[in-house]
Amino acid sequence: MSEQAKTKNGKLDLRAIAKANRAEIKKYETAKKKHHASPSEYQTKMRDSNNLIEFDNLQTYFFTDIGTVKAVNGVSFDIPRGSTIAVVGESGCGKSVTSLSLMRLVQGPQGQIVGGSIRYQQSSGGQAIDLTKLPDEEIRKIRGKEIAMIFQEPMTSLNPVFRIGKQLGEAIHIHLPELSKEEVHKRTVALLEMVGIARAEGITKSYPHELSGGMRQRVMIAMALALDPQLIVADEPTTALDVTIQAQILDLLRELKDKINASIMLITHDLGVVAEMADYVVVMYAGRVIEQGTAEDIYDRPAHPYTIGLLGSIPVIGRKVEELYSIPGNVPNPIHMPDTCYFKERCERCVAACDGNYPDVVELSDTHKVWCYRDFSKR
Amino acid sequence: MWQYIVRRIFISVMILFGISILLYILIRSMPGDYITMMTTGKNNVTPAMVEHLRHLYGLDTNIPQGYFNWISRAIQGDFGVSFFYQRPVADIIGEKVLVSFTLALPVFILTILIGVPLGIISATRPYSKLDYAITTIAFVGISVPSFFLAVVLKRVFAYGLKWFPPFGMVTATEDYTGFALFMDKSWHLVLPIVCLTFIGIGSYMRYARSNMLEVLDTDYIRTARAKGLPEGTVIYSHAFRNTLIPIVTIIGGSIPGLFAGAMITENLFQIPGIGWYGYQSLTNGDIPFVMAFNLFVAALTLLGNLLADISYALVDPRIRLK
Amino acid sequence: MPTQDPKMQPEEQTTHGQPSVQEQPSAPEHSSIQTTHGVTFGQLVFRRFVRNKLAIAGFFALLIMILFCFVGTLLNPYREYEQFFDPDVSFSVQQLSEMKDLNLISEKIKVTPIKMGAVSSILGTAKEVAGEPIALTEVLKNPSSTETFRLYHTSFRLAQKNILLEKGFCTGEEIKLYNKMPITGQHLLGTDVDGFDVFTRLQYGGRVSLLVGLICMLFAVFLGAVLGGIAGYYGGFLDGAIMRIVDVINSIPVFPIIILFNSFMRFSKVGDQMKIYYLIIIIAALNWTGLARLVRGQILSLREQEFMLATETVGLRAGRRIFRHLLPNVMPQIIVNATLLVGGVILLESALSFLGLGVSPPYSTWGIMINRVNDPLVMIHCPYIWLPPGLCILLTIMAINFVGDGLRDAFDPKMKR
Repeated sequence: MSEQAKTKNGKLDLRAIAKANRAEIKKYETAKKKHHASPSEYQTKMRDSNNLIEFDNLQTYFFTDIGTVKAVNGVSFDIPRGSTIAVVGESGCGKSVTSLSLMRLVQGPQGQIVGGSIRYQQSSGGQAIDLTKLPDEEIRKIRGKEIAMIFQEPMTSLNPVFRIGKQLGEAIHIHLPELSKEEVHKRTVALLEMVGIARAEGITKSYPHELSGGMRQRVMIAMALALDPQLIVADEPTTALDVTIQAQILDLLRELKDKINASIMLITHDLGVVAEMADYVVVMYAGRVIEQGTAEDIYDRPAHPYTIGLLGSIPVIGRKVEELYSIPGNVPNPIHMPDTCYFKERCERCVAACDGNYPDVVELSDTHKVWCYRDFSKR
Repeated sequence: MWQYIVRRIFISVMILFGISILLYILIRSMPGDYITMMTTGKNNVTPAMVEHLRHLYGLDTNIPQGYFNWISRAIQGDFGVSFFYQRPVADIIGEKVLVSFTLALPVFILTILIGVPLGIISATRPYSKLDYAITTIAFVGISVPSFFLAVVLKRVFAYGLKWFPPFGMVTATEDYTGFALFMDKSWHLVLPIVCLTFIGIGSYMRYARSNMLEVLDTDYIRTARAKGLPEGTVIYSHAFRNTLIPIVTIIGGSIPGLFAGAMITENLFQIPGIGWYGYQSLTNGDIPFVMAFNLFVAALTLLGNLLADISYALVDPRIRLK
Repeated sequence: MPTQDPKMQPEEQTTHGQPSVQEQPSAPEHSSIQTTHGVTFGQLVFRRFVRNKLAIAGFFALLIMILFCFVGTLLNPYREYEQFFDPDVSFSVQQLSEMKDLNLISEKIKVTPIKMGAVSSILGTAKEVAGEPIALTEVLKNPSSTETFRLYHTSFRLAQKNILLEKGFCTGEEIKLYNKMPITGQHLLGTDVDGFDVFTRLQYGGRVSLLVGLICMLFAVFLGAVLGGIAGYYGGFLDGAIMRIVDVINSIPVFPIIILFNSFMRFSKVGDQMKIYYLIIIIAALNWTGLARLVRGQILSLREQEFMLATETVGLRAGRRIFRHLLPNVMPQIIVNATLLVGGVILLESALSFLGLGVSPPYSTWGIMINRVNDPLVMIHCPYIWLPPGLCILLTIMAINFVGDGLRDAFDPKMKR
């Protein structure tokens, strides 16, 4: 059903939306329920063998009561092996949904991956697979073991009724059932010590509510590291914490990153964090990637007006300004996006071409890409 | 913890006092009492005799005086003699409560064993056909009047199919003992148990379902999935434990209710439990029994609330009672 | 209310000393939410409600039930207290034809031919033996027949009965009540023990049940919202006092108290009309506490939020703050609770009527109609007398619960789907 058909006399036709949603959701849910997918259906080839993950035109939509929200609308970027890649953007720009799509944890039934692929290079066996087409049982074996995730809210992300030891040990046990109880426990304690928890033995017997937020986030990190994953997805790991704790957690992550040789996909809106951690930066806006490049590319030569605005809005110690810069306007309504540059309304550097369709990619260098109509040749 | 419990018991006792005052005023200020009921329409009763009777039953005092008399004896455990049964009220209640309990206990167990699992199953497949079916059954249970269900069950299974006796607790014409008596009682109790269970499962089922749905939406369930736990473990270990917390609260809170009797059902199946006796006394204006019965039920309610809170603290590691 | 059959209300929190985690999450400011595309919160709630199949089914069932009870009576030729009669004699063909000409009977009815059996040795008279019912038209084709016939399942209204007597078809003694008669075209659900038409009584009985539920709910909502609002808004001594009353009422066994009231009302010979009014007041007085507690809790949590501080800073009067800013935010919960309360009250009222404690016959309510099963013969042989009112109660309460549940889901901002 076209977007136009969903408005009647200039108002939303909620009935039509509800009807369309039902059909769409049913389609994707039935597809997911298929149990015995043959490996040929999800096996694929990586574009570049150095990459661990390749997002290719990923589309994740939410079918809500007032229309379809294209939370992730054609996102493509790579996560090279052993690197840290930061996904940056305002709240609601689709960065969290991108990571949840990778884990296949998008909240159904209204949230669905509707298109594109996420290619993943498995270390064992060496086969590349498309995570979006993987059957539930197979993705489960990857979650936690090969790709682990640290969530934003340490306060609510641990099960309140189980002891820390059980919650950590469970993660190990489920993927390594051959280990004995003692071995699992030993490993649990070792993990807790690795993330800098003193008295690790005692902590295993604690309940989550007995720990502080910083401690809980350390437990979450320990849980993520439990099985030496290839990729750790950290979804705003420090947002909910005190500033002093934030620094500690970031130090810990950086330290561990060197130790374990995993890739990290760091999702954040804090550009300070990005500067400290990331090798590559992906800037997202309203469900799309608008600029990507190495950390130097983004910090030294930001090209998209939005990125420039973001960087301008970080306070810098020692620089005196009248007023801290803020990008004018608001994030556009995610439901009825026009087919123009999404940032157009808020942009201070618009050119004539901006009235046209959504801009194509401009490759500024091998690593640096931007989606914008500005004339970059003169720079 | 103990301090909390003691304080709560103290508050409960205060509330009971309040209720007893309210009840007494209510009962005494009503037009018509047991004596009037007994004597109305009997021509050979003289006013003097009525006066004598009123004095005998302690109804000639004014309300504050009467209440004071009643409460000073009640505190010592003497709830008076039933006007109607001419026996100490406390004795009757003690006896009949057990009868009600034999009916209520199997109902209690069955209700939980059927209601909670159905609710969980329903929540794991929300808005599926199975969910709609279970939900509809639950709503029939919640909505059906107990007396109507009892009548239908009696008509179909007792009078129609003749599988079960329509009322009573034992076969009057037989003199069973031991196991035979147990079987006879069980056979008599099948219909009331079915009736009360069907009415009870609905709320457990709905409660379990809504709690489960809420839990399945939490961050820690997402974490459990992110760990790579199989869906079964996520639901039946991680989610279930958390769903259980409020359910255990409800279960703990309803234990005292097991002794309160089911007034209408006991009436319809003529089971001589506390509910039936309570009903009789209510309709007969049997003041001592009504006072004791209502306070007994109120005390059970308050005890239930306290038990609910205590069981909450026992299951949820986050709760410490203060 | 443990004395009632175990219908607990799990949604209600147990008691005062409740541990803090069970506090309800504070309500978002529904009424003010407006999305950029002009979809109001109300429209969203409506959509969500409409999508809930059970809620919609409930809504229409309720609508049909209301139409049946309040409008359906206009289409019904029979009145509430109208009794039906049955002449207990046999008629000759000629009489039948006369009765037909007087429009006392229609030609569609059936009659049973009567034959005299063998003379009983004890009674000394012949016993009537009824044959198979045959159509009246068949009988009238043969006017010379000397056989006599009895009317088969045919009732007469009062006016018709008088004509029967006037014209001498039968004597006053021979006229019987047309009672406990099965389902026919004349009586869609048969007649009850008093010769009333069950279908008609169902309509009028439903009126009482539905009205009692509705009025009780209005009373209880008014009391609960006002007292809960005052307790939550002003706090302090008022709050303490009101909440202690709530505690006491919550611990009083509701059902016994109402029975008590009723048995005394019966004693002091309160008229049926007044009895209903008293009943409504008593039920309402015992049912406002849940709502009061809910409103108080909501207002306590709302009061802490910034927008209330804002109204205070702007200098709005207390009345305006309560009615324009607080109440709209509590409205969803009040609506859901009020809906479910109607169901609860109807259930309570029907139980009382069933026990013979509410209004008494010939007044009609659904509960009273089921009360007829106290006669085992009615229970066993005439399910058409007690089954329809029971099903009506079940259907109505179920419909109300579906609607209430659907509203709860629709109002819930966390609602997924």
